Amino acid sequence: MRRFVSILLALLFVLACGVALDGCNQQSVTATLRSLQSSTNVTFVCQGHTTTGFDQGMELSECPDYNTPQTRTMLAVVTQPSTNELAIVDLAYQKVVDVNPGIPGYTFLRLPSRPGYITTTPGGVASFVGLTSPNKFGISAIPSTCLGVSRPGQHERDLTTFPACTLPVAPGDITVVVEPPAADGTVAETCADPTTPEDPAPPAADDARDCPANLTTEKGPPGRRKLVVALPDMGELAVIDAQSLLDRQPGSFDPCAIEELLELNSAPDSSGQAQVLPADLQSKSCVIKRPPPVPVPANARSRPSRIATTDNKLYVGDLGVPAVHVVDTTSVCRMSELAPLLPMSFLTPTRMVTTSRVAVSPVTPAGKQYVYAVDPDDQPASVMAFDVSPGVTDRTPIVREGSSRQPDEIPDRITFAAPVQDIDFALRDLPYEDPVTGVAASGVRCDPNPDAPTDPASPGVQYRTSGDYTQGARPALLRGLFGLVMLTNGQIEVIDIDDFDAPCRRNYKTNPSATEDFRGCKGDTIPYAYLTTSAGSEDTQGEGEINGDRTVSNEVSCNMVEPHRPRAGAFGLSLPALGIGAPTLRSLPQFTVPLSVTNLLPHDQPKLLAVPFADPSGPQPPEVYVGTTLYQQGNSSAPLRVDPNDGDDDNSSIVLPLVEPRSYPASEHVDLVYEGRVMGDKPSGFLDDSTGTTLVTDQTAFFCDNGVYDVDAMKDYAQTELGISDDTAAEAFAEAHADYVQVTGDFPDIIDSYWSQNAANVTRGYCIAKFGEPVSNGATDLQATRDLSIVNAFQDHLEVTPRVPLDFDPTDCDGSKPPPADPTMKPYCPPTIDDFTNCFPAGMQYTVRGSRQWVVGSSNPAPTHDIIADPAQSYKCVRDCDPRRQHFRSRVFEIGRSAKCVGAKNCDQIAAVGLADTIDGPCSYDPTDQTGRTHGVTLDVPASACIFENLTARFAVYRGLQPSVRDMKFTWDTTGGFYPLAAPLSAVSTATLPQTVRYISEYQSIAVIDASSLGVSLLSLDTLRIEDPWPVY
Amino acid sequence: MAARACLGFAFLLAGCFPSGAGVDPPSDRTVYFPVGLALDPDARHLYIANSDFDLQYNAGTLENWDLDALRARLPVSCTTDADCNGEICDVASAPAHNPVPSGWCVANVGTADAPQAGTPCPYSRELSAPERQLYPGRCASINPQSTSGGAPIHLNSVRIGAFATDLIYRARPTPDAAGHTGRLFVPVRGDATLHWIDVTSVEDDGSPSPRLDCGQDEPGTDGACAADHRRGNDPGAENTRGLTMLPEPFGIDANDSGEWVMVTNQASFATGIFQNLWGSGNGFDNGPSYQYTVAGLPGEPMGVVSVPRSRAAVALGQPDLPEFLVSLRGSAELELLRVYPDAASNPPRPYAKAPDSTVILTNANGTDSRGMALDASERAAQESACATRNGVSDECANSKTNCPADDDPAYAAYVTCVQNAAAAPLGVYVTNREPASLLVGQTREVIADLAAYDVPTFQTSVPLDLGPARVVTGDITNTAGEREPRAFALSFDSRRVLIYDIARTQIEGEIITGRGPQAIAIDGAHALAYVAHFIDSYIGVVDLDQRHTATYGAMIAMIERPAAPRASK
Repeated sequence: MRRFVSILLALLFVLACGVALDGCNQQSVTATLRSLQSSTNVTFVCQGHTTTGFDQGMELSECPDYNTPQTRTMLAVVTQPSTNELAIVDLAYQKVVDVNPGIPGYTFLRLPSRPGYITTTPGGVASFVGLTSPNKFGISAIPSTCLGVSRPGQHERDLTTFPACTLPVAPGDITVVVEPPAADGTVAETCADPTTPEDPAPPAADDARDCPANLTTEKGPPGRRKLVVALPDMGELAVIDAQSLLDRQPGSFDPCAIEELLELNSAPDSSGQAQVLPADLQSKSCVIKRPPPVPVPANARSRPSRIATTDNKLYVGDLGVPAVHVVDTTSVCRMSELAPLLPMSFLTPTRMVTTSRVAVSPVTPAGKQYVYAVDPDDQPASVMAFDVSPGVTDRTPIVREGSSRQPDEIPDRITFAAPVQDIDFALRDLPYEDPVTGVAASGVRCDPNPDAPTDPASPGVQYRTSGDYTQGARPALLRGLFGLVMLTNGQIEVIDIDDFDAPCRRNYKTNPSATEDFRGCKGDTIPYAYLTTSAGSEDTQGEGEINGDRTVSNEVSCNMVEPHRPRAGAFGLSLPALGIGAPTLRSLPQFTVPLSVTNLLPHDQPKLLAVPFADPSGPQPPEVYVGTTLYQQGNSSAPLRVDPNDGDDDNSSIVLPLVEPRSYPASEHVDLVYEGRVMGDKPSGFLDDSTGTTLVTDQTAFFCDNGVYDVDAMKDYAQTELGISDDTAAEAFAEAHADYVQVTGDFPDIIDSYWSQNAANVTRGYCIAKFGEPVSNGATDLQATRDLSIVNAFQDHLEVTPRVPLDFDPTDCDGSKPPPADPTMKPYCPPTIDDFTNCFPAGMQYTVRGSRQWVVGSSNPAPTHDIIADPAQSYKCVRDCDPRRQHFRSRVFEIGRSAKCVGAKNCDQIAAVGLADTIDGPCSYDPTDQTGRTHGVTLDVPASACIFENLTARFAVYRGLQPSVRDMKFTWDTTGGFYPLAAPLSAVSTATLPQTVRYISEYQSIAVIDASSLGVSLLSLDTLRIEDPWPVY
Repeated sequence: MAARACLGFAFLLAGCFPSGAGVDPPSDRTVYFPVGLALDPDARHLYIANSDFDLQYNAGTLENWDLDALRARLPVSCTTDADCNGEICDVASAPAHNPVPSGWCVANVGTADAPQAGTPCPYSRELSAPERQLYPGRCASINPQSTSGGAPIHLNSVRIGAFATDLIYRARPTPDAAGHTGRLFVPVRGDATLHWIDVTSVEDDGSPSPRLDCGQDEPGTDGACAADHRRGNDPGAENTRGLTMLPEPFGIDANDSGEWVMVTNQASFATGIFQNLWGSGNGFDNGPSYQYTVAGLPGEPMGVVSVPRSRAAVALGQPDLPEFLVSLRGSAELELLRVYPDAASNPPRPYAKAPDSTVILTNANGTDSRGMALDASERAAQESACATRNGVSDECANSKTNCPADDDPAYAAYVTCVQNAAAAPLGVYVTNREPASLLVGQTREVIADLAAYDVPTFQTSVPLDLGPARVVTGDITNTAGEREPRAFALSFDSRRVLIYDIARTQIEGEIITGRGPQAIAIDGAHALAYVAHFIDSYIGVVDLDQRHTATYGAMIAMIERPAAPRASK
């Protein structure tokens, strides 16, 4: 033994020495040095050699320079708030510019205080940056001639290089607006004196200066350049003459000369405008009680945030009042406020919605224009879209159609997993030449019409998706107007606004009906059943024939591209060549039983089977992708089982609704469990019967939010969804199917001093006898004495009563009967409330389950039920008639067979479906037809009300010949769900804190400014990836 | 030899240290690897937890500084001589000013006719330029034990275990017979206990008292806190479950009343709950008792903050279930832990559960959260206004005792008012290491008739300098002389404290500190911040008054002479 200890000690010593030596190891570490830090805001300047000298600022459209040698280059001027500097990154050469190579390390342009927002004049001659350090508020003017290394004879770049002026408060966003010439062509120097023309040779234009700058001669729209500066603490916009600031002595920091001040309107909008709801969110039968919009507090003051600029308007976000100010800048010297856009929340109208960032889109070829604004207080921060096209009078956020099929979508918000950090728009086209006119027009839409000329092909035809899906209309081809939304987590998501190729991204089957079919197609005007052309000269198929050559992508849904929604990252198809992009089962559903069930034969089991799709043209045969194989009813190689009585097939099956691809998460695991859990285990329920009614109280349970159905809610379901019109029958159905509480917790540990100290002298053995062991102690199922039926459910408590068998006789337990001779036959006697409280002290662990039904559980956290808490009924759980919840379903009622079959004298001999019960309501059908052939439930019988369909599954569950047992389970997994087209910066580094996103049309690239490790990056619009040599840091 | 080696290994592996032996803490310095700072409510005392991080001494210490004496030694900002009460204002326009005007009141070392500005550092000397690289500020250190310039800053101290990690103060509801007005709680890694020290901040006659009381005068304690003031290590006496506090306690916070204290145990993926009784004397009916361990957290818990209970919840008679938010290292989420006092059970068996959590999606990599702070200023201001407007007493507002009848019109109006106030969100601020950022979010307590909900969501992440650690909230004074809330995020490695403007949701600036800023305490009433410098063992004082144009956000004093760690010498 002593020897063993010695060896152990020796080993420990060797180990310690090893650790110590390792700690002393001189390993070389490659440290990545970064010159940029905390990069935040950016402006872009095209700089080059002009007739007026080197390093002149130019219009952005003059870059990039494709000549050799290059004389022009695009610069990104990036604020460095942590060091009070401006860094310069040369986009053409992908490098950081060191403005003083004589000093070790990188030297940037020094500023008097912390830089805020930055902007550049239209002609690129100068940039202006806000200064935001306390007591050092102001604006610095940065001539483009000094964006770089000092030339011989010049001073080194330092604080005295640039003129600046002070402001009384911190400046917010800054933009440059051009005051146009007067009618006689006079460009006035000041707002105050419109008759005095500007000096064509202002002091700053003096070549003797290190950094000359003359805005009067720069390119761009004619007129005087004025800075419009937001002053958030004053609720105002200030106008400052840009050239006058440049003309100041370099290094000066005197008060700014403010020419005009516009006090932004803080008063609430009095127009009473409300959001316009699309047809699918309107309900004649449901009066949705929405609280009135919140009044704007009397002390609310405007606090301008970001500014978006068009030719003659400014859109100014506001963090103080619910308005996006619209400022008419036809004359910036006399700018005035127009009726504002009205941020509001469809979901929570009582919330005062403010806006942090705004962006205005270019005008589309169709003349449409949009403003996107970030709602910073949404959780997480989201985007609102406003239509500001000419003639549009609605000033509220757009409410989109189809939100009811997108469980995560708020109808008037574009939402993401992480908060929105910045937004911008990208308008791009790749025009083809028209073979007839020779003109390559912009904005031509893809043409799916089989009658369109193909020899030579018109541009609209050339945009069609190619046969192999590698060319033409496709997810990765961005041709049109798109939103670029950058999230704080480093994801840049693409938003469809006006995809020129959208007409060709759809299923090839047309639907002229105004009612959408099961693929979401409707209102087609092209007079063909299929969007196809002749398959070839030897093919007999012509235009519009099912086997012709498709003119569209033939994706599973017609809703692949939808305005103001995230763009799909893949074709909605599941093909071997493309992979899985459409909603697809990984395999057919699997059936499992709990440990307590053994030897259950297939015909005794419940059956989960697909049913036909409902369609305007009549029931459509069910089909579903399993992997890349399409399973269909009657398909010999990939058959889809639909008849529960088919003894040759014991597969399960379902179909996947195809109306809205965004209904589906990227992947989903679904459990369909008999009497399954409605909510996960809760740790702390308290039983209370002090009021005469037994309550389970748990303030953190949120029973309604978890979708608990009490008797009233289930009765309503029976009447409105299952069509049980008889009140008594509906009541009976509800009492049998209302949810119940199941106590799942363990008792205090055997060594816990509670057992010796509790006032009731209850022993652990008594509790085990009363309630049985929990599953954690090896029980295969919990004892029924742990169940409590829910009579009434409220958000924070449940009114319960012991859940007893349907044939329970209370006299079995009241002592009026002699005990049974056989002790194993003792009747069921529910425990008392004291039993519960004594055996489960300190809060009991419990769950809630559905009763005598199947419950759908999903890995997708989106809500799947229609229960809400009604404030008018003390927050009782009631069914919500809001149309947005019309597809939220999670309860499945078994369909049994009727007692008599029309096509057979004895159903028992042909059917593998269990007999329906009296409490099953309409969920009963005749499994035979007149000829005696068996079938599944059809859409024209009352039992079709018991077909289950939610957003991601459609099926029926047929009762087996043996009754279903708690925790029997069908499971399946779907894949090919929707995922957005996005550029993940985190693919390069997880240390990202993206601050700014800008689309640079000249490069057809997205510029990203990152405050952490990525510095400045350019992403091609074609690849959406950061590729070498980016990032530059 | 083998036995001694074995003992050494055991200490090494356990992270423990032998107490009692060794060198006593120095008497000539009062700051030694400081890790925690706390102020009493009226900012008359600053308490400093020294960790004895290099185990040079046989104990850490807890120090008590007189802030009136400290403030008397701080420079006074000025713009003209009229601001200086007999001294002259050292500005550029002043006659014979210093080469670089300080903007402070300084002694006139000339004559009335020919005034001349004296030194801006009357209690020390001006630092040289190289020194200022290490120790930002103009003046060298002030000795807190010196009587030069008035009463000494340092009042007294007690010894605590080594490796203290944090420090909090809670006021007593009412002073006890011994005159104790508050209590300090210190998690100590060395012996895995929670130290608790009663303090008396004001004597009956109003004079400052030097009293710290943790049984240090009892026989055999040798000036250190007695065993009765180290809790979490006596399972038989403290709880019915036989639980002791787990090793490596780190973060700490308590609810407003001080009844419930939560400690994070980062190495154990757990937190511990103490119930603190405001009793008196020795025994377990006074002080904290360990009650429950919340184990199995998804990451190493680091920061912990108490979520203040809204006055609406009090007015509506909602059960008091104290809540704490816990930040995690290694898991991108925050846990909401709720304490269930279980007072109705016999015997009561308090426990805590994690009813909810929030995933941090704001960053590409939301793991490695460190410090955390709440800002309840907006809600508190509204609640206070409700009480004032409707004549409701603090006692009624805080505990619903001695309240008017529910149907009293003024009280009914108060209840409605505080219900509206409860809609005001609490700001939540979390420092994240990778990427270095400050997560900015808010939690809205839903106060209906029935339920509360406090899981925060995050709106944005703000870039921080390398090595973010703690974050606290507190007030600065703006140019109008009004107090405004800010969040202060410490970056240990970068020697920076970022000032985040809560109302304007933007970064205001950064405080450049000395090496290793480890803790910060904000004295909003006097617009000062105290920064504990871990590496060089001193306390820096920062001016937080924006009216002081030259010094806002800058170090204006250094208390205690800096001492670099032995290893760096």
